[in-house]
Amino acid sequence: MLLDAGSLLVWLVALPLVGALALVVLTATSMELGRRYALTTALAAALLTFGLSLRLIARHADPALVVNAPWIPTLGVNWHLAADGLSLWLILLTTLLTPLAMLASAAIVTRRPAYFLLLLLFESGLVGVFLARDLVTFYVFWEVVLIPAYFLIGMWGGENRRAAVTKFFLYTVAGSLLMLAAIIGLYVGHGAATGRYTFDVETLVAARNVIPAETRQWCFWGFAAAFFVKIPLFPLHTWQADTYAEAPTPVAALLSGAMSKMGTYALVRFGVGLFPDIAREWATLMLTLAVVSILHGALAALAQTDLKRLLAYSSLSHLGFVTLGVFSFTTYGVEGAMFHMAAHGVTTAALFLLVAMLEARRKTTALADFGGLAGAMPRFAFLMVVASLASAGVPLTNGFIGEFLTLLGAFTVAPGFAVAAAGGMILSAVYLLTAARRTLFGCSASLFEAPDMDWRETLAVAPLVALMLVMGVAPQLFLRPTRPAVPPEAVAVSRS
Amino acid sequence: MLTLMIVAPLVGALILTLAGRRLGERLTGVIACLSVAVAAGCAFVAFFSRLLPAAPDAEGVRRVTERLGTWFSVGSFSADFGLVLDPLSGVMALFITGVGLLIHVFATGYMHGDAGYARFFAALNLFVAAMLTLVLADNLLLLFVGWEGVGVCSYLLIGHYFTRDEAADAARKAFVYNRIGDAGLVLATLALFTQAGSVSFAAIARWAAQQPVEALGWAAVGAGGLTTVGLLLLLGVAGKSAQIPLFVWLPDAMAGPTPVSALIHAATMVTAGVYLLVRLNVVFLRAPTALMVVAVVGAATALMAATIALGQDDIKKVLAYSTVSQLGLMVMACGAGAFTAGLFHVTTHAFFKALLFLGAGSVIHALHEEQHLRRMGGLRQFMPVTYWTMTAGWLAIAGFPLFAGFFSKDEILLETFTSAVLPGGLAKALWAVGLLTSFLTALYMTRLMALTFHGEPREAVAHVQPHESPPVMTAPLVALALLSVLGGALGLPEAFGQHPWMREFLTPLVAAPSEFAREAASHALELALMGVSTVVALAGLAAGWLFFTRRPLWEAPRVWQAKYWVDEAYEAAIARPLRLLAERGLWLGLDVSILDGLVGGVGRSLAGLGATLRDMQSGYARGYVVMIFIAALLILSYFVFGQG
Repeated sequence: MLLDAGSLLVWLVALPLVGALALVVLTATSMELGRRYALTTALAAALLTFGLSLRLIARHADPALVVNAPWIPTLGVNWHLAADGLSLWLILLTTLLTPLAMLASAAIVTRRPAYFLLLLLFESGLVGVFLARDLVTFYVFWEVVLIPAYFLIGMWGGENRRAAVTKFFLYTVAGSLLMLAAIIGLYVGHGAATGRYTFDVETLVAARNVIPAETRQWCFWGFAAAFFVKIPLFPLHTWQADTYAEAPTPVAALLSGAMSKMGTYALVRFGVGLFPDIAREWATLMLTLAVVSILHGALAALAQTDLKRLLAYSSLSHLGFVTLGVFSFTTYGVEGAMFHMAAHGVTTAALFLLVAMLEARRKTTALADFGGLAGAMPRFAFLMVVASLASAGVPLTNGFIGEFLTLLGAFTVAPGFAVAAAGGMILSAVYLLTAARRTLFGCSASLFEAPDMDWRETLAVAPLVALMLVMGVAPQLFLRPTRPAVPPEAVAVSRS
Repeated sequence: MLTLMIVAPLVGALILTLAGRRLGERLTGVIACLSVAVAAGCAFVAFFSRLLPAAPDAEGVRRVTERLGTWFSVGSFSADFGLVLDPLSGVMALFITGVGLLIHVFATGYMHGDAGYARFFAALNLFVAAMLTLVLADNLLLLFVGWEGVGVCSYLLIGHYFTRDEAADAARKAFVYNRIGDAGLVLATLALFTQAGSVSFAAIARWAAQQPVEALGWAAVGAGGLTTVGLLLLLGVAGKSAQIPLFVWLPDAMAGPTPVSALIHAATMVTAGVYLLVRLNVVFLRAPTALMVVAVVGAATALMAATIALGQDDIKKVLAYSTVSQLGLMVMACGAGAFTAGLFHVTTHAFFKALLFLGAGSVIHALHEEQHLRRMGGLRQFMPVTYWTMTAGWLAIAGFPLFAGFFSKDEILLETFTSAVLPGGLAKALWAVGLLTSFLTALYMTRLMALTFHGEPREAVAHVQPHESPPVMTAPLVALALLSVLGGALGLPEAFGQHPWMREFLTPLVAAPSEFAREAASHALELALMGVSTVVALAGLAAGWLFFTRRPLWEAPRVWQAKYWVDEAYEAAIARPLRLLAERGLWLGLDVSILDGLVGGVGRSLAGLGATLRDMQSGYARGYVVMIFIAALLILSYFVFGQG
């Protein structure tokens, strides 16, 4: 019973949670013990996810990988989790990045292991978001993610963490509440029309046409607000740079690598799944916002003087490509978007972790404080150059596939958007190579002696860099399992 | 065998990357050269024992193909790891591996003592692998892998001396300018795929051959058809092959080690653009407007760069602008529909320009990193092998009769003059530009040779005791000199009663101009034009000799020395406004002031800006909360009360 496929899903969510609870008991013990314990838990979660993924890859749709039990029967709330090709890479990404972020957290000064406790809680919430198939379950996990993120930034963040975390909290909560209103709206609308009150996503998707059109229109925007804040999409993005910059850098790696995917994932699963007609109606506006995000993010990244802010704006730009692909409503665009989510997660996390290593050496992330590092830190320089090229989307790295496919999707429906978005391709090379130029190369006065990456740091980044190449050379491995799970509503053009 | 051709240098690069400095110079050099030698062996064997005996397929083309599998496929889109050796990629692969091997050998001597010896050869090997991927790819996506791959290697190698600011800046500049072109190539790929339904070259050629020739005129430019595709491709060509308006990265790229300049920035990578034009010749022949723009861009680049070359005093900068100029001639040839002539010049240019760069490297090496022409002089007596081999390169590029460059440049001029795809007046005008460029080429090359090797030894030579370079460096020079003298044999003109081998070999893969109703150029016209260009080349050589051996040394007009202020103009017109827009307009303006301001809380959190912005310490958080709850309440009440 404990090990059937369904409870495997529960364990996926529960394992980090149980680990976190145990850490509460262990708070009195030393930091080092807590760190080791948390790392072990996170690695176990990663292994579990990996095992489950193999199962999912072998069988496209595994009906056994579902848990659906009544939770609050009087309200029609179910504890409904399921894993499919859309969730697959994102839960893997989350469980892979968490232990790596822990490895890269050596410089975080803390007396108690609460930092690691919160990381585990964060992981649990994220995995739940990617598995939930009941709107209440989904909403609960969505909010659960916010709490550890809030405290991680608020307690271990930079100088201006208080203002940043407030801004982050308020933007996110504003979006969440609108989504909550929309969830209730759907619930009431569906119940009033059919007499059956439920939060089950599959039921609501199947019966979406019985809900009054006007209600659905409002509900769409409620969901959209939450998702667009989380991605983020222009003009709801201004919390992002502040938050990423003030967050402890390994946490920023998780925010940018995993948390930002909540928005894009939910957009495909819920936004397009529940409201395909309305989403398509507004496609032109959404494509425009996506392209504006791509170009605005890339240009603003160009102006940044701080590495973390630069990466934050780069994230805005890259996720613009994901949104572009989703709203192209083509097979190319949506599959490209799903791929690009995973790809961006890997690459941006690697870059943030690399920045964390610079920060550990110099207590700063300002570009002006670096230069000529390649001499003292050749291994670091090598990994940073590869990660930058992957982020810039050079072919045979993971960045290229997603960018190309989303561009292809956009091009087939509206070439103008693809042409504009291609500008982002040029600009990404400019800001990333500028960052590499100013940190690694040149005969800057701040040329300094620093130890190269140690084994622990290498272990945190090298797997991600290897993954960038594997994903770029053999993208089929990653595209194929996703394909059957793409909602039919999401693609209009040939699905062969 | 085609796969091995790419894998061998790739393995070399991997070994050198992983082993790093542990191998020592000698072993590093052996591995690097050996891996390229294996590739060269594969290329020769595949070419002579597989391609030449192969029977032409249904389209009359000899092809050897290898397919490794699917790279990625979504919907009806599919990109394969598929390689093809056909006459076009065969010629390219031969000279890439051949010249590449010679330059690798030269570099083992040139880079002696460099701290980054292993890193250098790892990148150089990787470059050969990427370049071979580019030419052997059987589809546009895999070509793009090589296309950006060579760009990455070029980035790494220009920035080899990464502690020098100018090298680090030049590396980034090269990649960015290439990226602008790459965006054009990606868009062209998307446009071709949506119309032809495939990215494979064979399928695109079959599809394009059935398309009508588009009308000549500006209306076709934005129509999204083949003319649009052609112009987008031209953007890619301009980036990679350093044409107007994207040529400015190539001269800066000279900050890299000289063997890199020879291999990447003269013989191989920069000719990728011309290769792309030739590869997609069928597409271009259906888009006369695009061809016209290609021809004009090529001619303008050729002339502009040749004049700048006259005004440079750095030996590598002269050669760099010379390369830009010669690439311009090749692009012009393609624009005139003379694709085979363009490719012929690619090949001969690879020989003599690699030779000239390596010769310059030999000189720089002997003078302990001195590159300034005005400080050289009289080196002939100290470095006889370098001098005589470079003389062969000099005469070849200047178009001295019977040297390699003579035949290839002549074919370009003839084909441009008689072009059937360009309007008649334009064809004649472009021919005149080409002729003027030839004259200037002879002039600036004579200046380079005179200032370097003749006259009195000036300060840089007087201070050191220059020695001839070691045999490991001079042997490649001799080999390239022989090729520069004899390379013309690949395309002897019909007027000599010969069969132009290269043109016949490439047909029908590359359309010969005659297929497009070129006015039958009589042999008399051919000989007359040849006479004119011979006279012009000799006049250039003679004028240069008289002019540049005099003292005091000639000062070029300021506009040429300053390279027409193109870099400065780009900085003022594009780069600076863009930076201002990004910083003041988008980031500080839109995000920080407007958006954050609108939401009610000014970004106090922005480090360092706190002082300049309003202090809203008290109350702004409350403002947010109140707003959100009001909004949420409104919406909730709508659902609760508004439904009935």
